[in-house]
Amino acid sequence: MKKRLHGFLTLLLVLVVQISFAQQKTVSGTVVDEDGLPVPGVTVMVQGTGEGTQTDFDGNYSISVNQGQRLVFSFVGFVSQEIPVGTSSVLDVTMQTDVGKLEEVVVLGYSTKGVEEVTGSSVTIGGDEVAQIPVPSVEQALQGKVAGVQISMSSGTPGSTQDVRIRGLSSLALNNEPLYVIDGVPVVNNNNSGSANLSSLNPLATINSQDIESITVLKDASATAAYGARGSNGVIVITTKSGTSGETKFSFNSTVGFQNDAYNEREYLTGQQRYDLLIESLVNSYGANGNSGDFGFTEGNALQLGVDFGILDPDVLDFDPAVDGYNWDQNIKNEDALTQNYTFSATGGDEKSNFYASLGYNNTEATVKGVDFERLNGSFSFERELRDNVDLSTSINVSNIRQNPILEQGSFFSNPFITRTLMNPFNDRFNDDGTENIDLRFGSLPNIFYVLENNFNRNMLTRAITNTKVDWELFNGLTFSNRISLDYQLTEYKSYINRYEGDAAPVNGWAESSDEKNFNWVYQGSLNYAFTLAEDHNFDATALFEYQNNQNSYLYGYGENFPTDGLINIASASANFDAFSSFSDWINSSYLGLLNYNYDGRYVVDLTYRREGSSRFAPGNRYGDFGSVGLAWNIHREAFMNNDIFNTLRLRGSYGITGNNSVGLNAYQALLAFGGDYNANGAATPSQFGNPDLEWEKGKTFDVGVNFGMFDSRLTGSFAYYSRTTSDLLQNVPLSLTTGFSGQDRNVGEMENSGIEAQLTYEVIRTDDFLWSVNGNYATVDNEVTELALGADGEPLDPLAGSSYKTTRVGLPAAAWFMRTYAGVDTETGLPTWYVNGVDGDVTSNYNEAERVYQGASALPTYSGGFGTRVQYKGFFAEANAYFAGGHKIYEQYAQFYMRTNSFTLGTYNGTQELLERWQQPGDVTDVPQVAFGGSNNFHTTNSRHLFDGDYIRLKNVALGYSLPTTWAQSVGIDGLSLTLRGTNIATWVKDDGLKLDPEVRANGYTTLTTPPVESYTLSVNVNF
Amino acid sequence: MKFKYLLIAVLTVGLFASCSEEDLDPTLAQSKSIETSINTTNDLQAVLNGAYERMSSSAYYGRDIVVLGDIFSDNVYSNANSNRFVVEGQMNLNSESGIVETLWAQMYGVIASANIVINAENIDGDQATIDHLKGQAYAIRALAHFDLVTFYGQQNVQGGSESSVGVPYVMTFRDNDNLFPARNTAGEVKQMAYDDLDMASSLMSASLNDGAVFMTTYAADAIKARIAAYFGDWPTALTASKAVIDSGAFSVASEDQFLSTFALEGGVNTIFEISYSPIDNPGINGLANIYQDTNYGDVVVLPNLAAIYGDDDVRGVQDVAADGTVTDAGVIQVDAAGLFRNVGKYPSIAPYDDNVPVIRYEEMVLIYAEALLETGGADALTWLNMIPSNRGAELYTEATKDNILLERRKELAFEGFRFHDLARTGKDIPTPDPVQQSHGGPMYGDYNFALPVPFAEVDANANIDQNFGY
Repeated sequence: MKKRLHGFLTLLLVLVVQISFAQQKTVSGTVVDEDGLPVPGVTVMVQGTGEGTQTDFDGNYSISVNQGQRLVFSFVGFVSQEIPVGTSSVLDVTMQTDVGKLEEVVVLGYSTKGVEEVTGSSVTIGGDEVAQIPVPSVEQALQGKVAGVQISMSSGTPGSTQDVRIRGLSSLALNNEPLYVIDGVPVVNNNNSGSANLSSLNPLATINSQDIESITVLKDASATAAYGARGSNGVIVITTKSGTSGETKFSFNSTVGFQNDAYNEREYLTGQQRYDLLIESLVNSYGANGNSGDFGFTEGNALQLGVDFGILDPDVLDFDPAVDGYNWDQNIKNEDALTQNYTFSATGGDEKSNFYASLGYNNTEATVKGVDFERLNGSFSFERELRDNVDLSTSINVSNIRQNPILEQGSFFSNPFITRTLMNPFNDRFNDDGTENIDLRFGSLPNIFYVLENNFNRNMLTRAITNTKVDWELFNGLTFSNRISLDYQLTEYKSYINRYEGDAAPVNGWAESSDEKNFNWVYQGSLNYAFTLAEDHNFDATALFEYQNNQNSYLYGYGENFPTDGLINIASASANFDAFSSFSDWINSSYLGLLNYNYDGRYVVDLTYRREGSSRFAPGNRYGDFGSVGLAWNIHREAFMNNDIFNTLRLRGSYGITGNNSVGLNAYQALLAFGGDYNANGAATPSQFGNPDLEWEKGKTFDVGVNFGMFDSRLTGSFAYYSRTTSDLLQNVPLSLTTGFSGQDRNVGEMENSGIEAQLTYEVIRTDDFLWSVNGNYATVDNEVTELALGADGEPLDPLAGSSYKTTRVGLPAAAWFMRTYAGVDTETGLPTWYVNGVDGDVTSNYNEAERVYQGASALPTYSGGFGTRVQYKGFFAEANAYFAGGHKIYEQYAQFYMRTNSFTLGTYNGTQELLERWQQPGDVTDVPQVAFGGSNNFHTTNSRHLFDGDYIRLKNVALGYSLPTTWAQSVGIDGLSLTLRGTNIATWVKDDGLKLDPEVRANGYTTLTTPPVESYTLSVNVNF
Repeated sequence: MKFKYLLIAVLTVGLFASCSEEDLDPTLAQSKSIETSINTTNDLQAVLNGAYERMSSSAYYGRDIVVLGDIFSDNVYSNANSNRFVVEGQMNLNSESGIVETLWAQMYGVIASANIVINAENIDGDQATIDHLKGQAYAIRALAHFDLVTFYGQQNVQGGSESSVGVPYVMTFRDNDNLFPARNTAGEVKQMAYDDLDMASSLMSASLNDGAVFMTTYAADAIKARIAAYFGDWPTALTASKAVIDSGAFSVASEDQFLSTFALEGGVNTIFEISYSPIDNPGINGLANIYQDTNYGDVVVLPNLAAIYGDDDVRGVQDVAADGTVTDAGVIQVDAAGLFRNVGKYPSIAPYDDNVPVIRYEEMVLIYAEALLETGGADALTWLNMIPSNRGAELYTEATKDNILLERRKELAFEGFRFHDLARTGKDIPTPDPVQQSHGGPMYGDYNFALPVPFAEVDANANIDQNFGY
């Protein structure tokens, strides 16, 4: 060994000597493309040295070089060329277009592969496409673009988290969210809001979509197995922009627009409507033949008697529907909410190094009053060749996002959407002098306008991610890489609730504040060796070790009773101080082996093995083994395929095992929580049943597909079939509540998902000046639970025991809708009825008598997809794309309030205008029962009356744009200018007439009292100089 | 040279890669292991405190059980101001109703905590102290099971009796052999509770009694008296209530003291109460917020109840002068909208820090009077009149069952007794104010004289059958 090393040294010395004697000269020439047009910006490098230059606008270059050295010409979109320097001092080059070069590379996180070396199922969306969609969180831009990816907003409040499901539900555990990987590093992506009751705060909203190079969605085992344990739900790999060598280029982007609710047809009773219904309901209950007895109520005296009996507030006698009251529903909207995003970036570099730097600002208002989102971010990425064989890349992204959240995660009195749906319209908003009225006469809701104005709520997340990597080529083909990434998220939450109106009025104001610090660090060390044997056998092997540590600490303070207005910190509170702090951590450690082999680029074998340990399991069960085998056949490279139809044709398939560890941090331990107190002494309560046998959930995925490009790539597409069986399902198996616990985390049960996915793009017209393309994608998912834990009687246990809406049972989709079936209003009695057996036949008005049955669907769409078109003529373009989903059902959860037909809606709060369709007299055919002030008919209680087909189509995106011709741009001193006018969510078609709310709901299928998805119109301007 | 680099590389990877399973131990920062962390009397006390803390929850004595006992009756109703206790007021609960599950789960949570204490072995410390702690746990376990059976047992439904199904009596924490227990009969629950209370009495020593915010030897007797009275076991009721009376540790609060026994700490009449401090402040979920004229304030006193008190009765309606000052104190107040409000029991709002009385001496006096009446003993009238004579109310001339029940309604209003008094004496629920009372007056034996067993229980536990009518 020692001898051979010695030999290396000697050889090098000889080379050095040779170089010093070589003859140096200047070579120049012109670089043109296939059409003979000059190509500016081509990098011309002397191979094996750091020396190089670029072509000018006319494609000309000039460089000092030694005879015998090789020049390398490279430029994005063209095949690189290496040309030896001969005796001539002129070297003209014609660059060959590399068809589909931009899609050529797939970033898989740990590795980047040529598209033909990939055996797994993945889809990459370019940064340009991501950047154009005006949304605060980058993953929203994927909706409708990737087959098999379903994205739904948890709320239209800017900065909120999204529900992302890749190929359906893989787990019964709470977490079905994919793993996010940013620049090669898995990141934590939890809701960072300071309060679970307030709007959620999405850590991905810290990333400016203008800084994204690409997003790749990894779907099957071959693609995700490298992330083994946590890849079960799919992986979303985000790559941020890095620099491009050359003269420094600047870019400025500005996007400004306005937003409104995308789809909302629910309307609520006006003062007059409610007034009439109130009287009718009183007479129905307490008049002649009243359901509650005859107490002499008539249309004329109902209000007076209601007051006399103490069931109505005396103020109702002063209410005049013609002049009093206020339209709270409509006025709480923030019409034409402003959104703006500005990004300024620069990139450049020389042959040894390059950089990308950007500065961004975003400000987006919500479509409801009182909410505002702001982001300020800066990023810097730098790459440098430190030595011939050592490369450094480092990036840093720091951002600060602020959000004024609202109490939208439940039916809180101070949730603006509660005012929208339930505020008694008899209340006047203003006093006679025009000030806000904070002594509303009816009901218990506060004047939300005053509350939003005088309360202060803020989530502020400051996130810094650094990512540094050193690649060290030890010898030819063998690279040793080290990467360290630090991700620090500091969420400061601050709230002050005013002294006069709303929640804190009884305690004279309260303030709370919290700091949550989440520090996540990752180390990756790897050895990569790429080599070729016997010319055609190409190997690429990687061994990698990864260690990830997450530490979370939280500090909270509270105080109440404020002496004055305008001071909102706990420092000014005077009573009932409270404080809390906590700490938690988790650790993952993994070993990864990757081997990619191909024979002559025709046959590809891809092997992945990952062994991962997680602190969430008991010693002995911490490590799990995961892996995959993938195969691909690049048929188009075979000699027999030498024809003009297919320019790409690949068959690929993979099988593998991935995992999931989404249980609580210490889920395996039986725990006693020391959090409480009694009589000023500490108290301990059992908090977790524990399960020492807890281990990884395993997902076995089989995936087979074909990718093709036909007619010179005018028709490209892919088809795939997948089937995934998740076993040892991590789930909270219900326990008898008599144990003092509601459930125990266990690995039990099995679930299957299968489906097909297709993507197609066809360039109908492709000429130099004119391009028209259409594209579509479609995916199905069929989800079925095949095995569950068994209960005391040997029957499967429903993990959703206790839910009145859903069930999880063998043979049905997970979390299938399961409730009583509505059978309409009894035309004689005016009471709601349900099918006794849940399906057909006998009906009953006794809710408890009716059977609960499966309603034929779950909340998970069984099909989804998108289609679109793009037309480009010279500098103009127009595009449109739509998203659709269906086969699922949506439950209108707050029908339980505004669909009541009694004193709740007509006495205290307010109801929907649908109540106007109530039954009034025998013979009336309607599906809204009689209104009766003292009634309790269970119409509003969970039943299929409020369950709707979820099928919808939404025009997500329509845009018109124009790019100034380069020559015109240059004449005004810039490199390029483009303008884009874009509308998002501008039209929605909903299949079910009964569904009055936006069909885009959370993955769990319930409509919520959160900000609905938005329709927006934006104008963006992009200047490059 | 290259070899050296390679060696460094391999070593570096190896160093990080030598991560063992122990290196993956998560930090336990807020909790401890159940198996290894209960070793001393201090640990035992902390777990017992946990049982009391769970009793203080809004789902139990902090609100729900107290309100349910009155709203299922002719004492109070819900005006739906914040949609609280509306379905409860209609007595139209079903197995999906939230309160049905939270009440059940909370009471069994208390039992689980008590069982940890009862099951604990090899505790370091003074044996008498350990015994006193365990005795308290036995008493808590008995009370929680009794509370469960009064709401979920079938003894008052469809001609039910003590042989009807009650609730599972759970005596072991994390009993892996019996994770899905079946229901004991109501009579078995009664007997097991008696046994637990006897055990409590034998383990606890009066000298270690630590005030009314904890279970005491007296509380154990008092709970036994309450259970016996509920099941009509009058000899036991007589003996147990007499034991409390004979202890001499308590007396009936005087008219002047009465209101103050509900504010902050109890008084001479308090046998057992749940401690609340500003730290515990249940705020909007507390009793004061639900009873008083606040943003919630759903639970309103029925005019009929307000009318049964005499003018000077401290438990009745306050007299208020034109300027708003209270000229004659009382539990009930008329609010701005003319509704009757309970302001005297659980009076403080911000913060809510009044202890909630669970067992008062007055209840023992009334049980004693009733037991005397039922067993043919003398002096029932004397004991009965001991209450009105201390309330500014008229005395009774005769000790009848009706008079005793009337006095219980007056004295124990808003404390969760009324429904159980009606049920145990086989009465229909009266509807003196039919417009406000949305339950329409169920007849004795109707299905809604018991709550449904929560869905979460029947779906998970195949050994439990749903109650009649649900």
